Amino acid sequence: MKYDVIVIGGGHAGIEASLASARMGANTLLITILAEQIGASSCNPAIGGLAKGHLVKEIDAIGGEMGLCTDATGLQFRILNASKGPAVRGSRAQIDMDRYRIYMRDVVLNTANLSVKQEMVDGIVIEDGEIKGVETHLGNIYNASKVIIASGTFLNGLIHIGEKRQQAGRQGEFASISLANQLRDMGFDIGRLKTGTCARIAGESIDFSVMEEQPGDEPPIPFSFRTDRKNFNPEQLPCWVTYTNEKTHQIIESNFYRAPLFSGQIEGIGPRYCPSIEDKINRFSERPRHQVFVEPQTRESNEFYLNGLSTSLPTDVQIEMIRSIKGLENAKIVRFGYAIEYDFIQPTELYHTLESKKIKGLYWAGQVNGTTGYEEAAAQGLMAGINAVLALRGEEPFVLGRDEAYIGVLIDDLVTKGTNEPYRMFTSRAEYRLLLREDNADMRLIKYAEKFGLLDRDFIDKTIYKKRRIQEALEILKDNYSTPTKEFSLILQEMGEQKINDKTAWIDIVARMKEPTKEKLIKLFPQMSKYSDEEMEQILIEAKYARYIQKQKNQIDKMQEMLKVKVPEEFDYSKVHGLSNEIVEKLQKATPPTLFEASRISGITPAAIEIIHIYIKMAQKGKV
Amino acid sequence: MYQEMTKNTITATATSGGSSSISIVRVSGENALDIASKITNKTIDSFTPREAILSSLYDKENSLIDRGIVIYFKSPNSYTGEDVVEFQCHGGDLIASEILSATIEAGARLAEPGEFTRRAFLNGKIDMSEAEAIAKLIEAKSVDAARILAKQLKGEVGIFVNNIREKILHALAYSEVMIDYAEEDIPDDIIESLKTKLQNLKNILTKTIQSSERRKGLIEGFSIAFIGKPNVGKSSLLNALLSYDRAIVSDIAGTTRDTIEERIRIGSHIVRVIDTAGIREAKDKIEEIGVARSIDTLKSADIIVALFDISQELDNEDKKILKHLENIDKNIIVALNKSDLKHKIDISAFEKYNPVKISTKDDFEPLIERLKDILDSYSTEEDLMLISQRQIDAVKECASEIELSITPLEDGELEFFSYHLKEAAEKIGKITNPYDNEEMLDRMFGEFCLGK
Repeated sequence: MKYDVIVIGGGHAGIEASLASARMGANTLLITILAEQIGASSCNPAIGGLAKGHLVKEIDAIGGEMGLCTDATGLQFRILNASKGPAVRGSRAQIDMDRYRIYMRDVVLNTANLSVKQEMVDGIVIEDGEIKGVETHLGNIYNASKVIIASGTFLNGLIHIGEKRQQAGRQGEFASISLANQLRDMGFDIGRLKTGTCARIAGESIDFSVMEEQPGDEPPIPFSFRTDRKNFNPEQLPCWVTYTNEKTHQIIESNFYRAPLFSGQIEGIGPRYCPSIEDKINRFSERPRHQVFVEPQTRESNEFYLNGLSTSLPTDVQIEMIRSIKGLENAKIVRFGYAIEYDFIQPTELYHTLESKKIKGLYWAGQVNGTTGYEEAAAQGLMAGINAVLALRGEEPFVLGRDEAYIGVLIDDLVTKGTNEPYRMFTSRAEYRLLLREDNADMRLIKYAEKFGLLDRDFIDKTIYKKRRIQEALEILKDNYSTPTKEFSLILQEMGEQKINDKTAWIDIVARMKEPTKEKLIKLFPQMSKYSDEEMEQILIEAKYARYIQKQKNQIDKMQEMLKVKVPEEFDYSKVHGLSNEIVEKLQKATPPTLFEASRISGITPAAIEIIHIYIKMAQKGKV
Repeated sequence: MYQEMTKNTITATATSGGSSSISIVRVSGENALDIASKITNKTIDSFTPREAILSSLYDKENSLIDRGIVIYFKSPNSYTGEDVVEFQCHGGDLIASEILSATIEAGARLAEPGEFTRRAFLNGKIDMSEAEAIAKLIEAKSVDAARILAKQLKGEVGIFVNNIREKILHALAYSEVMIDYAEEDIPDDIIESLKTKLQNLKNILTKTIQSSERRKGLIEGFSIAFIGKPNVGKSSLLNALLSYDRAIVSDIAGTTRDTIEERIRIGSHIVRVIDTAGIREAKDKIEEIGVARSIDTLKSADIIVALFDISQELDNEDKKILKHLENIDKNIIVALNKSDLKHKIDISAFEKYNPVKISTKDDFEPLIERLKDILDSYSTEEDLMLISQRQIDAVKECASEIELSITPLEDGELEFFSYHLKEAAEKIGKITNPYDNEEMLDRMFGEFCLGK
């Protein structure tokens, strides 16, 4: 059988990859070990969070499915960091993980150009350094010139619960051994990582009356720019907060010797940012307690997830530890927590398109690239899917800049720096954080949605119109000034804002407001009344950020000017003394034509680029 | 262009001209050893790193120029970090220039001012503050300046910068944790404690700026402005001071016709002495300008010496001068001249200045002593001293970003707080590593005399 694109794995990366590919018109095959588990949430029943919410919004703005599915199956919606500024707010939703999975499976099965096979890929077929297809455990061969590996934790997956070990891709599912071994044999730079999850508790055994209730936001705000915000009114369920205590810590400590994490049984490196409870107790022994979020897994609330209590301790220790926690004294454990070790590829083996440098046409996406998180996985899946199709068509690749999207930051970090621990997105990783907000993801990325045809024409037109209106409003605010007349000062005073002392641009008046609102803006500048609430929200944010945004844009321009600088032919990097041997070697080998290409090479730091830049400039003046 | 780059071995006379007993020509770059081999007619293997060898030195036509010491410093253990060869020859401009020509004939190119130090900087041998210290040390003319610069050469500023940067990054890390881990239990008092820490940090920076600006004179020479009405004896005092120490550095004509500048040495200090036109009721436009200038001079001087005639009663002009002194926050010395004549002046008018009595005819020691005391007090301060306007500006910018970060911190707008902290860290980092500003590098290294 011949396809255009084959996607291996039906998790968050595999779904976005295969949907993007099929929706762009490529004949696509998704191969998964268990079709029921397409879109399964192996870990927590939640989508989004800080920086991760940004990724979901960006995926949505380019035409991915994650945001829509979250809105359709969400149990609780919250904006984190709501008290801080818009740039660092993060949307988070609790999802009904069963309904999420079913929604995704149905979308995948009902998408044109997309076929699904429940088989296990045992190997990839390669000829002359190019991918030709895959072979499955049933002996079937499927041909395609583009293959995307989105295998999550399945490659050589090994589960640990206490002393017990078991090969599995996820609890209860087969691990992918044969493919993993082939990839290792081919000489890919494969390493081991570890991640883990917590025990799941029967809802009827939990005493919620002694826990703190954590309700969703009212009104709930949906993820997808395509969801109708006005009519978005899902019934929300609360989460609950309880805490570990000294007794819990003592139980864990006295069983350290049985923890696979400390006994040497686990070799892979776990996520520093999402440590297991035994790791937290070990590293922060002075903390008297740790938070535990008790989160519903489905609308029926039969099972609860204990966020903060990921563990691979033996089952008897898990029971004792959980029952030492307030409200969980009678907890019945349905599924035990476990750790899983798996193979990942060092992502410096990949181009920015996520295509392998070694094998043409072979793409890698998601957790197998060393990331952690559904959102990070989905973002890579989407980008790999789009790029596979663009390559098929012989078109320019799709690479997002660090100044354009968190997705750009994510992939750039991965392929240029590589990773030795599960990589998680943070807002602090984005240099241009003030520009890359959740609230403007649609306007930032609409041109790409339009280019790849992944969104409805209507929606695209609507977004472009909104963007234009907001720009126009900002122009008005920049071009008009007010003078400190008595009347004007009085209006400002009445609304509790500082008065002005000089002729001041409107935008600056808004920027210095303590609490800018639509009402205040219209009262001060009546011509602003023509803008809708949604537009006004953006106008206020942009005005407040204007000064900073301008500075960040200047920095970007400066950086881009620098990256345009051509590297002279036969340039000898070994002459540039500030560079490490490793960097010199990489650059000598790659001979990038400009600093831009140089900056894209893995391991080449911005500081190195700056040194080379100075060196080239001085050489041009004949000073070196 | 690439041609230029490969021709990257540079040469210069490292010693200043004149009739010194030895001169040194220094060559740096990948062909240094090759050049040494050509000039000495010895094979490359004859040179052992850091070993001084006596050799004849020849020009291109193979005729003997001189006999001298040749020392080879192997990369990276040299001043520039490249291969360096030094030729020590007999003194005098002639021999050195012949050797210089020989090195150029042998493949080196004449270095630009500051190029050796620029290379040392680019090759990571020194940081920017050390490069600046070297530049100033070459020019330094006082013991105090040399002492301060030597401290900088030991990396004192680098340590200061790193220390400040560490503290900023520490605060930044807290902010980033509060942003990216909003869900975690974070102690409530973090913001208060951050605020206190940053305010302390800002105070340190402000103090460093102030104490550096106050002591700028240690490097550049302090300026002492003289004020007094005509005939109070300013000119004779100046003449007396000039003859007091023969080590006159230079005579610099004043920038205006109203102020005259001279350099003299007092104790271990080089000072610039500025005479002002005086302050009186201006009778015309030109005089008005003169008076305004005098006031500016007073404001820019480190020390003001106000002269009054002890043998006369205070007149209007004296009073006017006294009134101006009230508004100037500087070290002020009131000198009552003509102490050999009968005292007529009302001394109580100067009480708060603790005036010194002098006679420009035969006794101005009390004034010299007072000046010395003040000048010495600058050099005994042990605080870190920033030695260039560039360093001071960077610290000022850093302090201003820290100041700007405090309001968003109080308002909980941590993304702005972080933004300003990042800027602050970048600004202070520029003192030692100003990589992205090439023009600044040009300007900076252009200040060097040739050869360093």
